[in-house]
Amino acid sequence: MNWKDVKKRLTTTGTKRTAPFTLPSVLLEIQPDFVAGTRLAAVKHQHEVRSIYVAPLPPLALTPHAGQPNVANPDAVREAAVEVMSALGNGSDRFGLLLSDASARVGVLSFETLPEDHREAEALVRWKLGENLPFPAEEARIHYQMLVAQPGHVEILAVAGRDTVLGQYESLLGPSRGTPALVLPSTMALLPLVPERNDAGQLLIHLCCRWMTAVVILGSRVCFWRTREVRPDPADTVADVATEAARVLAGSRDHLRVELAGIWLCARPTAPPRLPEELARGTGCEVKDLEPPLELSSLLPGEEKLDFARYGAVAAGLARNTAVSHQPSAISVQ
Amino acid sequence: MRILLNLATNPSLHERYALAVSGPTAGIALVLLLALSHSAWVNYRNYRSALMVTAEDARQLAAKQQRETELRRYLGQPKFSGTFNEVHFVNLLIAQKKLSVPGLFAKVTDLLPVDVKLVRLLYAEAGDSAAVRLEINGRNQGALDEFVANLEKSPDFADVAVMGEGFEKQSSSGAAAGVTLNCQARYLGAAPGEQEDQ
Repeated sequence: MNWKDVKKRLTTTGTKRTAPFTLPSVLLEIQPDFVAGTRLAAVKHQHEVRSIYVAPLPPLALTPHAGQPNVANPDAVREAAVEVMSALGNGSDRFGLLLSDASARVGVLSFETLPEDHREAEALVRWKLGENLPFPAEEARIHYQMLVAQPGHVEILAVAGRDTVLGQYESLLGPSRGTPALVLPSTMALLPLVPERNDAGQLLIHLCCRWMTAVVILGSRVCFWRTREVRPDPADTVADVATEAARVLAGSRDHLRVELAGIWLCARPTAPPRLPEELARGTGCEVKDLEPPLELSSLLPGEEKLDFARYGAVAAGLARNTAVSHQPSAISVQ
Repeated sequence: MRILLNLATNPSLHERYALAVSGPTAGIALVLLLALSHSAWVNYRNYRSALMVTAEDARQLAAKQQRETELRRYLGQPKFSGTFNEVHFVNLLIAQKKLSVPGLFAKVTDLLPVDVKLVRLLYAEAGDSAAVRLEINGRNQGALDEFVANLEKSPDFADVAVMGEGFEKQSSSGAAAGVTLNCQARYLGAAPGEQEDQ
């Protein structure tokens, strides 16, 4: 028996171990402009949305950043989160947190080989991911999943968040609610909604609250991920998104050797005027809206269906995530 | 694409079972607290009773010392000094195991034959031993020899020595003259029973 491991498990000090993916029945999404909550229910081995509630946040109450404290007005954010949780009627169920993409860092890392020893692999991933982190890599919670595992070529999708930043979100609801069972950047939850296409790459653009994330997907793997802030004025937002999409398109063609055949756009709560048209014009690709499947909202009343169409894409993505058959391996990292 | 990532922390055993364990732990702690409190109360009560016993003993000791002081002062008065000296002398004699004169006399008398009478009895101490000197008078020599023989057989005497023998002159009344014998013996001391009799 490894007594050091037992001691480490029994004590609260030291680095924390990330948990394996799980889908809790309540999802709480905290974005700079709103807090959205969704309650899921399992119906015939599939998840459906049972209720959804959205509460707005005052301006500048929350400023997402990967390395700095995000919550500038804890009282306002806590009040909105408690309001949402109360509206969902969540008692003691464990909940999941979906954060702004800017609060975490996501990267696709390539290696010739990855050590089989879990700790050595973790150290290697942490070291390589640390080059792109705006904070010390030792303070990061890391989780990665294997994308490609071939002899001489290993590719992983890794997500990292600063422990103090994530802890700020986790402590919003108070110690009585415990820690969340799931924490993810919101765009990650959209990936299961993108239909797999092996003949060409696809670009997913997620625009939410002045932050956009561009993800290049080839088949069932992510090839590229970038998050950037856009200007708040709608016209500027459209220009920034179109420019960034064109830049990613060119980069994919030149560096990834991936031709993009289509763009999936998810703009929440609503897309700025003329954004799809400008995107199509700037990239020359077909632009489709990534909307949450309507069958997931069959249990919702009319008003909540509208909220679901505006805000519920991430919850729909996670609800669909468990139904996907393909199961790549994921590594929890301490 | 299926997502298997999660940045939530895996709750440690400590965090997972802290709430479940806290109840029994609190119960055990409460029981231990009660047991310790009871033990402390019993010990305190015993300590208090021991303190009271000690204080009572100290009070009685002080009273007895006071009584002794008063008695000493009372007995130290001049009118009791004579009695004190006598008692002291008697106690000294008892401590030194002095001879019981009536006892010695009785023992010697028991040894005298019918025709012999004790004329003089002297007692002298020399160091640890005591000696008696006897002067006896008998009608004839045979009676005196019998006495000397009895003396030698007696367990109370040892080292019998005849010091002198003489004949008394016949009296004018015509009574028969006796024989006088002086002898000495070591007196082995009084038996414990005799000392107690004193």
